[in-house]
Amino acid sequence: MTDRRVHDLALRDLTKVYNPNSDEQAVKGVSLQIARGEFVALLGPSGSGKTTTLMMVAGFEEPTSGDILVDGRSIVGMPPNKRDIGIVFQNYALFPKMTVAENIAFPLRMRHRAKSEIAATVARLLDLIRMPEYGTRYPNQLSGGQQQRVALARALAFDPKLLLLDEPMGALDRKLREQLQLEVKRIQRELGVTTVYVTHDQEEAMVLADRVAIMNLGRIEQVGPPAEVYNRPVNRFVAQFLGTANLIPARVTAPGRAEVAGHVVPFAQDGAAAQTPGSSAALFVRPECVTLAPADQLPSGRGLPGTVDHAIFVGDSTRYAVRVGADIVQVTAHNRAGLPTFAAGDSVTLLWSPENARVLAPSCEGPWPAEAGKGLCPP
Amino acid sequence: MRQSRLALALLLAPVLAFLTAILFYPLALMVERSFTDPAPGVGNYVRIVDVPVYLRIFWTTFQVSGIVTLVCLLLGYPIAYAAANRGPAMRLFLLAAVMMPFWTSLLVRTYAWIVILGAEGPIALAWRAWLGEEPPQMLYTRFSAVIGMVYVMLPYMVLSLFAVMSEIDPNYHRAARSLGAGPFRAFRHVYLPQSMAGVTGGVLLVFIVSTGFFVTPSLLGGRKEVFIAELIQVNLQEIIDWGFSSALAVALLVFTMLLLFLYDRLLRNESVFAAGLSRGRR
Repeated sequence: MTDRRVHDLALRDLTKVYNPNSDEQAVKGVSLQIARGEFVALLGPSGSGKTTTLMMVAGFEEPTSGDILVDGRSIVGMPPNKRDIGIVFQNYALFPKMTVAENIAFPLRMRHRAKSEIAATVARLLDLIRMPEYGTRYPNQLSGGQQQRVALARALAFDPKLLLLDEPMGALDRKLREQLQLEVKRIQRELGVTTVYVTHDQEEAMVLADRVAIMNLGRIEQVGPPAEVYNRPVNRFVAQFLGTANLIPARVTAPGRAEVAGHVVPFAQDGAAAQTPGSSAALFVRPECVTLAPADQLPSGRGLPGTVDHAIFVGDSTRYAVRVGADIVQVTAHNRAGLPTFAAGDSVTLLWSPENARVLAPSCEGPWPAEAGKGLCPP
Repeated sequence: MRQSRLALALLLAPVLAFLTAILFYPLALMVERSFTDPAPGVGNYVRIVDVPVYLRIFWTTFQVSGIVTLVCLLLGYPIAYAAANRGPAMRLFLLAAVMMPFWTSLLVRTYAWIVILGAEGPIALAWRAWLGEEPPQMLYTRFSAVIGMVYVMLPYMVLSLFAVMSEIDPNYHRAARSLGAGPFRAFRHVYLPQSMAGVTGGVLLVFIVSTGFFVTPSLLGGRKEVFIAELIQVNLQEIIDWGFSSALAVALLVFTMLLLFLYDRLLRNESVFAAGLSRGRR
């Protein structure tokens, strides 16, 4: 079933240079294919180029090179008001001299829609954001969360081809944010509009998006579904940007085998460059993927021996810092009756199954097509 | 509660004492004098209404002030807009250019206009050279009075507009554009309404100050461009009629306040007072 009102977006080698005298680029060859109805989050630290990318799609910045295609047709050079793209800004940008209903009606008025149609659409959208009785209020009479929902309704009022959101929850507190994330997700699912969401909050990106694109220094480092990007990062930057990661200095000894502090540990083999035997590398393993066992319970030669440096009880889990040689390995253990607990100074063995560990390169070098990043850097 | 109120009273006391001594007391004296000098009654006010020339002077004052305000608004709006929206270099240049006249004395600036607009000034010379005919009388007309006053008042208008415009987030314009408004409609529906607080403030400021002008219309204007301030000065220093001078001053005050009240009514939403409130709320 192809709905003609759902559109796709393609970014092709998109580049933005602000100052032509220096070769410092805000965006360096970003390529990304976003399918109809897909929800993609651009995730990255500030200065990674994610907002600049969004502004180029919106039409407020012209790309220096590259192309932006909606349904296969280039929109580069088209004025923003002709693009039919709904945008939710970080500070909402609700027009202060207009009521909520007038704000939502604005894009319809600009399109010279009939009065009756405008009234019906506004009522439908107020229902959608669950604020039916707020039409006559002014933006400064609303809470931050309400303003955010009105901004979303206004951006959706004209059935835009794309919905872009630029850190829309940056100004809200955590609890409200979680609530609104579910709301945004529900509305996006309901309307099926193709959505690009810019954020620096990794949890928000993983909660909302079908796919997450991790950006760093103007490039996309990796694109993929949240679980894939989290579990199989292609490089150290992605590993450390998402959640907590142990990156233990190691030396690859054989395919799927690495040496850490004189002990051989397994890792998942997936053919990336940093895995040639003899090379020194970083062994990646998430804290929750490591199991601790008392040192005397295992035959020697299995696992990695260490000493508990300290333990922090945080309710549902306990966080251990375990000293292995010169390094500290973070371990998160769920608290369940019957499982062993450890105290500072205890000798332990660290264990993980091979598929939870991998060897990572520092960062992908040079421009490379993000679509090739089906989990991995090109060799 | 009691203590904080006392503290507030103590904090306000100096400024209240100052205002009472400098403003309210003399104002009260003036109002009293207008009703008692030379004889008790409303004689001074009857005289203002009865003698056509006085009413005409009031009309001239308000009319010229109105024109000056309008010209300042039309010239000042684009300047303030560019200063607020076209980058830091443009802002520095425009604000410096607008503020420059403040560094020179009012009298010097006024005489400069006499030279520029005079019969042997650069404009007149250029007119004769290119068009080969006598230029029209520019100096000592309403035209020259308006030019001189606009020159003095423009910075007030620009600064008042700029203060409001520089607070308008550029994302409003972007939002309007993304929602389907072209550049003009984005300005008309989103920017202009938000800048109205600055327009109101600038218009009030320029108009009120203009009605009290003395030097500029007196030196640059023609015989017909007599302002109330000039009439008051003549009555005060030459005729020495303190009662009538007071009545003229009170009448100017009342007329001006009446006009301001009407203006505020006209622009209910954009009232300076409402603008102050909404800004305070943020």
